[in-house]
Amino acid sequence: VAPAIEVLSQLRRGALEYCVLALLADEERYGFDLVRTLGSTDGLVTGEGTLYPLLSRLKKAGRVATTWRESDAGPPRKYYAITAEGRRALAEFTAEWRRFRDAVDTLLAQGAES
Amino acid sequence: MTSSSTTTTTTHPLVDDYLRRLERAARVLPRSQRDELLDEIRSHLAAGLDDAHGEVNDANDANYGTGATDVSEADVRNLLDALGDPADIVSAAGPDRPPPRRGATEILALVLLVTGLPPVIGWLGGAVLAVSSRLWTTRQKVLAIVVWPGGWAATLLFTLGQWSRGETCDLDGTNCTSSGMPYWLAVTLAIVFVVVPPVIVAVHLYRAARRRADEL
Repeated sequence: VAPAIEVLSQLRRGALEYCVLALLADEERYGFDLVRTLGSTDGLVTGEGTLYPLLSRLKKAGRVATTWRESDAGPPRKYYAITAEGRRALAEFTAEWRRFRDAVDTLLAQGAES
Repeated sequence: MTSSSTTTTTTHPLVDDYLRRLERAARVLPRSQRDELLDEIRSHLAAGLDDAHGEVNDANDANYGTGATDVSEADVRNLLDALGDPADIVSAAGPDRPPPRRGATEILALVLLVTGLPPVIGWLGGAVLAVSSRLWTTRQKVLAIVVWPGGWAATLLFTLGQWSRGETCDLDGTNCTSSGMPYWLAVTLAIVFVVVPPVIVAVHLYRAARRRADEL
């Protein structure tokens, strides 16, 4: 049986992908901005740098696309946007995640009462 | 003066040191993946320095966008701490590695080299495969190639053993008397000195290839 911390780290790693997609659902974002937002959310990531490989994987999987845009300050910036494929994956995850979360919460609450 | 024309070279020694450590850690990644990761982190750091700088100075300042040095050391350290350990970043890139090579080339090379069959062609083919191996070091390739006499030398010794029986028989094929090395001794010697060492070396090299394949 895996220790709690390991289980949580696996869960976090898996869910993180979808948090990225969720952040991109309404607007495209500059990598730095995306990473900063995720990094400043408590309990989600340990090192912001680890998000870049994740972004690269999402891109390879066709769930996000990137565009270079000129910036007012400094060199051009790489912007990330969600693709149709990414939206499908996000919708699927969101529905399943809610069921999963509710199920776990219910059972954990029962455990706490007894 | 436009700031965007200035090349973004991060000049802070802590940042440079961080990037060096990241470059070193990222050597295990395939080239394209490594370049992409380093670009992203470099641009992240430049943006982070700009961010910290922008809070100190007016955004229209000529230095804006240059990853300027007049940010406090605390800002730089916070930026780097938030990014995390270079080794962690590289290992996060891990699962995307190409599937590990299983070492099929190495196994075939060893079989050809150790048996040496078919004669000449077997050895040559094995040597070519060994040299082209991407899992063995140069030293291991040399070792793989010198293993080859094992195969034919065993055959040779076996044959010598046959000859050395030096059997002389009566014309009707009975009453044989042997001189020279007994057959069983020749076979034992062949096994101990000629067959076993190449097999040990081959096992060692096979394991080395598997270890390397797991690392990649």
